[in-house]
Amino acid sequence: MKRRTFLKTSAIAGTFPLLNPGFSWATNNLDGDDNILVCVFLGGGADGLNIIAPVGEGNYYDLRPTLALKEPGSGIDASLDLDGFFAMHPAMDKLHQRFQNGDLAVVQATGLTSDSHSHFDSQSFMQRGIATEQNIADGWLNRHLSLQANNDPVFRALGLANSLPLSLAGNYPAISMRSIEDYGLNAGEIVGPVIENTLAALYNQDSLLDIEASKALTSMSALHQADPAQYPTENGAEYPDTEFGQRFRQLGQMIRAKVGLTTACMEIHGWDHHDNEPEVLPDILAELSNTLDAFATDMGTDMSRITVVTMSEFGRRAYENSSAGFDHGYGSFMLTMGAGVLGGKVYGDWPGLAANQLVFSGDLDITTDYRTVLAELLGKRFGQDDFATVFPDWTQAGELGVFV
Amino acid sequence: MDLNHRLNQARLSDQAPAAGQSIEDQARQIISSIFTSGNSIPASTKTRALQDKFNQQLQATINGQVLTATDTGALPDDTHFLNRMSYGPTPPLREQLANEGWENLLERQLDPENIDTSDIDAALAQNFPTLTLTPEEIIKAGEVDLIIKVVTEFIVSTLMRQAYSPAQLYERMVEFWSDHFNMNILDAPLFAFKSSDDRDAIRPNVLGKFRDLLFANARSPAMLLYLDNYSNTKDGPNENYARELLELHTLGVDGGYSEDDVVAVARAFTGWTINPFNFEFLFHFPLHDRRNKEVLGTKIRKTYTGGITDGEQVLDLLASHPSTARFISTKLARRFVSDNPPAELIDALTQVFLDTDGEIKELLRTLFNSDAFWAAKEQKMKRPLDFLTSIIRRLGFDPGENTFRYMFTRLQQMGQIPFYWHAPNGYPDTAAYWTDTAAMISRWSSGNDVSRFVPDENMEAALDGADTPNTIIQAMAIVLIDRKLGTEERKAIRRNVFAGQKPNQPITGNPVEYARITATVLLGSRYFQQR
Repeated sequence: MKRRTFLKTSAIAGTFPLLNPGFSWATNNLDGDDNILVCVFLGGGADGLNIIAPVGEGNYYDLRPTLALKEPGSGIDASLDLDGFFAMHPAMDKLHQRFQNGDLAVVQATGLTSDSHSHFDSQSFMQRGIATEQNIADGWLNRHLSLQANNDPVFRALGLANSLPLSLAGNYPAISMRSIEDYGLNAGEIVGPVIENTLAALYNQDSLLDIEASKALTSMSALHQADPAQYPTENGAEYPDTEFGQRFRQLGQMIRAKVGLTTACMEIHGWDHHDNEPEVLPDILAELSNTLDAFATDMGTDMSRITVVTMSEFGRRAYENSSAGFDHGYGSFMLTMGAGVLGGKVYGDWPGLAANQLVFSGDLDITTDYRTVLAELLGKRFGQDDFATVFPDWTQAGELGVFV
Repeated sequence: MDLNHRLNQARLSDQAPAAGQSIEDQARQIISSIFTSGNSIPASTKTRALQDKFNQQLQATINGQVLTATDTGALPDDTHFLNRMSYGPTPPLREQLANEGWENLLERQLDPENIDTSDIDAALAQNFPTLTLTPEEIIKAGEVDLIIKVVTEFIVSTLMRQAYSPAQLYERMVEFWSDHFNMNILDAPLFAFKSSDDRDAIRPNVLGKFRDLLFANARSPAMLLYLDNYSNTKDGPNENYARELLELHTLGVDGGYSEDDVVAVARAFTGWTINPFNFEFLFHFPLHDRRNKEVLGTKIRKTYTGGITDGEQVLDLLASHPSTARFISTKLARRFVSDNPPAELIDALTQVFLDTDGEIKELLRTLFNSDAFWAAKEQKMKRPLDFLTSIIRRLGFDPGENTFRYMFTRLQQMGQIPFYWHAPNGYPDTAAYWTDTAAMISRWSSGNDVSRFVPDENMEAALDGADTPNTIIQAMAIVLIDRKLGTEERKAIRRNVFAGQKPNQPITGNPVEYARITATVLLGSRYFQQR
């Protein structure tokens, strides 16, 4: 039976193929040359206008009289020129370098076309790959994987986050990990297997708990065998000593351990800058920039098969508030780096910041649905063509040409 | 003088930290790392008296506590009630329940002022002196060490109350409303404010009227800081509090408000700020937007009392709004009944909310009296805190010198340190979030670790002389999961844990050690993940 049929059948039956017994993960697909997608979610609504700033537009400075980025070349703290019109936040010097080298592309005025403005609705919509509420519970990446999975390795889909990212949730068996170190019982060589074997025998039904328990047991032992912690960081890469940075370091180890990983989801929270943006945005941007840069450095030649993409649930209001911050907005930005990326360019039509060009309570408009970017990426790098399934309420209408 | 300036001044007072790092940054960094390293948590040896007393009580009564355990595998009604009403059954609670029935026990629990909490109160007062400090005292001291003490003592006291306080429903409601009005204690300078918020805004109101809780929260300096309303002024409204007030605190995201309502509510709360000298609530009229406002189709009346009534009218409007009634009812039903509670229950609760002007006790009475409640056995996935506290309450817990340092490490791994959730919506309350591979592994490993710290005496009491594989398994199953195991499950444990031993003959080896491993697998089983 083809895996896809298998999954569909089991979905209809309300069950998932149990791994123990009767279902076994493939272990033979680990030659390590598959393309890899790394999806990074910036939780909180990142302020695209002060990250990829339209310094070429006068309205930008009128709307943000105290908080706009300084023009490129204007001394210390000046923004970093991208294409003469847009400039990058100075805390992102590492990614700016990669942009100039042609490794990194930017999409501006993109995002989720929902009028919600709620973090929680918007994050949920975006991770489910939809724009309006509908009866769809699984994540867009899970649907993507379900469509093409066949004889898969245990760690094909991995969320390195506090809980499995919704993008990966669904029938396709994704693995959630907080850290490599904690992914084990730490019960010793004698008692550990006793506990594992007993639990394997006790979790023999078809509930959510049983499915996750079976996946946990199988993946725990696969991880033990692969021992990713043995791989050192390479090429002098230095990851920030933060949860996000260290999780990326471990993602690198997982890739290096050839566990068959092709899809990873990462999260970095803390972008909800209603107040004091100048105090907090530089730090988190530097963390993001230094982490992605370290990851690319660490992966070295493997970057020829790894593509990283970032997204956030919405951007922020075009004009500043009384707290030196910005309230919830609409259009934002995406970054993409690595394999297949036609970098060194800012993509997307610019909607403008004039009063009659702003939407809702004064937000940057969206000219590129975030799924336009993701669909091009999935199509060109991961062989996906069933977008009616992956993005059910989205209609394909051209592409930006960000990827080859 | 402006508040930010005052906060800054406080930060940079006498103890100027090295390398240009503010005290605030230092504290945040240390607090973030405490629970990974475990090194900075003060050893709480002095709380031992309380724990010892609890453990001894368990030893005396643990055996035979589950009089209603059956062979059928169904969870007894009594346990179901206690699983939801409390952080887990204990022998005294079971006894009370057996003696007076759940209705009377519920009434007792709804009247926490008449519950004798002197043991836990004394232990907290003696060991955690920072619980009584005000933000002013904490900030003016400006010491990193004190801030760390404030945060750790506050979190430890929360755990201790959940595990050991006899006012269990009260603590459950403290947790419920703390989630509802969530704040991230790491969001500086909240670590100086959250313990006061808990003491002054949350705890006095958790079983009162929703309106009072809402008003207390709106004026709480911690919330004014967390959702930025302290800097919301007529010169450029900050919508953060307004939006979350509508979306998370009252109406719910589908409760029928518009973007214009968000803006109007933000304007109504301009000037609600914090006194920069004593860090208490202050309505500062010069910052208030006096122009006309309309919220949810209702015009806000101008009054002669100077503008603070704008916000108060909004709170009144929201506190009695049908969408709020439904939203709060749904969340309560989700916490106490099931992830997707039946519509009839939500309807009934909503009606009670509207009829009683949001009387929380009445909502709980309705909830526990509903058919839906009694039909929802084991339909809630325990969150990590529930998982840990329910082990402690069933078996006892004695990890030696650093009782709660240990719990922090486990909660960190399982992803639920109290007051650490990063967003204003609070820790999730549905199974999907808490059930993934990492969650299962962290529970198994925590169950294994915690069962090693159950006092020998408690294990022996639980075994009550059981010394064969079959009797050990059944004794532990009754104590931990309130039922005897079926043949297949018993076999699975016997074959692995008791390999080489005869099912019905005394084991070779120490029964207590076998009981611990048996406990580990039972704590890891489906039965212990749910409540």
